[in-house]
Amino acid sequence: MDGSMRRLTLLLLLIAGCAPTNTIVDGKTVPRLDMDFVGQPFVVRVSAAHPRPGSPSGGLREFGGRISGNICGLDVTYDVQHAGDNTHLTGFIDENQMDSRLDVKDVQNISRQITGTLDSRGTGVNLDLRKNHIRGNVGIRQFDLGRQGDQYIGWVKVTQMVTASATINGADELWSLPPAAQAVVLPALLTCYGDELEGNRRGSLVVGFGGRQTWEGKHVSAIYHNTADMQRTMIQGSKSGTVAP
Amino acid sequence: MLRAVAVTLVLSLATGARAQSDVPAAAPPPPAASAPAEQQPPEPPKPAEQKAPEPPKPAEQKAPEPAKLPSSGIPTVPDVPDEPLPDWHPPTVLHRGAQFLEVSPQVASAQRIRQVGLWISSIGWAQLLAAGILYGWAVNLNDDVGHPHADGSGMANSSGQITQTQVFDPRLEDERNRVQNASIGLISIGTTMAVTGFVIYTIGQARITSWHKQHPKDPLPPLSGF
Repeated sequence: MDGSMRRLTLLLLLIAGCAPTNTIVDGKTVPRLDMDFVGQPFVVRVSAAHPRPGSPSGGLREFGGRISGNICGLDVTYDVQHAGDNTHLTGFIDENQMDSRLDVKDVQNISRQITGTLDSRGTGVNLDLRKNHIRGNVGIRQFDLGRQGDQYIGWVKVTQMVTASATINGADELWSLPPAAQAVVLPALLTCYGDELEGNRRGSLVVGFGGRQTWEGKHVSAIYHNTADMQRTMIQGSKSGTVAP
Repeated sequence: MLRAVAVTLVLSLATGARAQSDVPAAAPPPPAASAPAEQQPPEPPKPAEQKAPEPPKPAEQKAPEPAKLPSSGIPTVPDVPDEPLPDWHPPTVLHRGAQFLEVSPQVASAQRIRQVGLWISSIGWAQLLAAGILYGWAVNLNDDVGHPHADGSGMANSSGQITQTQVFDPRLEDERNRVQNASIGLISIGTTMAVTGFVIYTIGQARITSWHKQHPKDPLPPLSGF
């Protein structure tokens, strides 16, 4: 851990230690909220959250609490800052303390856009979350899902060669998460099953919000498979002549 | 006469011409069937080329991505119109029994089994220790039953020694029997618990080992053996 990382960690700990327990809403002192959310496979705790954050682009400028937990085997911890026209999240992922920065904002009250990087290696996040659609990419994975009942169903494109079915259960539960928690959970959740999709190039992505909490092992996330497995895939594909240029 | 011959010739020529003109009209099939090998090849590709582009269109609409995993079908993305984003309200139940675990549930369960086994085995070994102490006491009492022993008065004789008696004391024998039986009972129970605890511990350890082999990168509990 270099000096800047250590200083940032100390700063976060200091902020965490001094986190306010109350906030002012409509001129009244209101206690901040501690909430737990679970799913398949994740568990997060939102601590000292603003009780009425509204839209992430709603103009609120205040500390938004902390979000920590385990998503798809990734230990995550974020600080939330409501920055007026967007909500900014900074934090770390996993034991390697990978630096992560995410922004979430609403566009025309139709689209919730989650952008940023999931880890310090540059796993980019660019998701367009709508009530009836989820589109975009997390790392090299591309998604297109549409809502059907309480599910989002569609596909995830892992490489030019590999496309798998994708299902997100608990669509209603997804919208029970505050926007900042959505921005933390959804991108990390969409990296699940890296062992199968990137590693073995088979299977499908099935994750969920709400219901019974499940657990995923360490290092199964796609962020641990993007580099080595993709290179292997490209090499194997080029040998067999099936890789798209 | 010549005129009649000429008319006949003209009629015959006209009839022959009609017959020839009829033959080609009915004949096309035979030539088509007789010369298909030479003339048809260019034709089949045309309908094939004209019809082929049609199926790909729906295929592209249903599954935009050509590459698929062999094991799973790619579902069609539902085409649902956009709606306004819902307003967020705090959930009525803030804590839903979330478990923040250091290790996976499987390992945590195996660790609990290991700990239960350790506790049971520990109690068993403690009972064996107590049984040993009781057995030593029973041996001491047995000595007292068959040999001169303190008379229980607590008095000392003129030499300053505790007064002894050689009279058989049935209460000592009863006490020896009670202590001996307790010792044997404890040995039995303690041995059973020690062995059972060890077996349970081994089951838990085996589960941890199995999980670790399947998920070598997962965190393990303290003293996991790895």
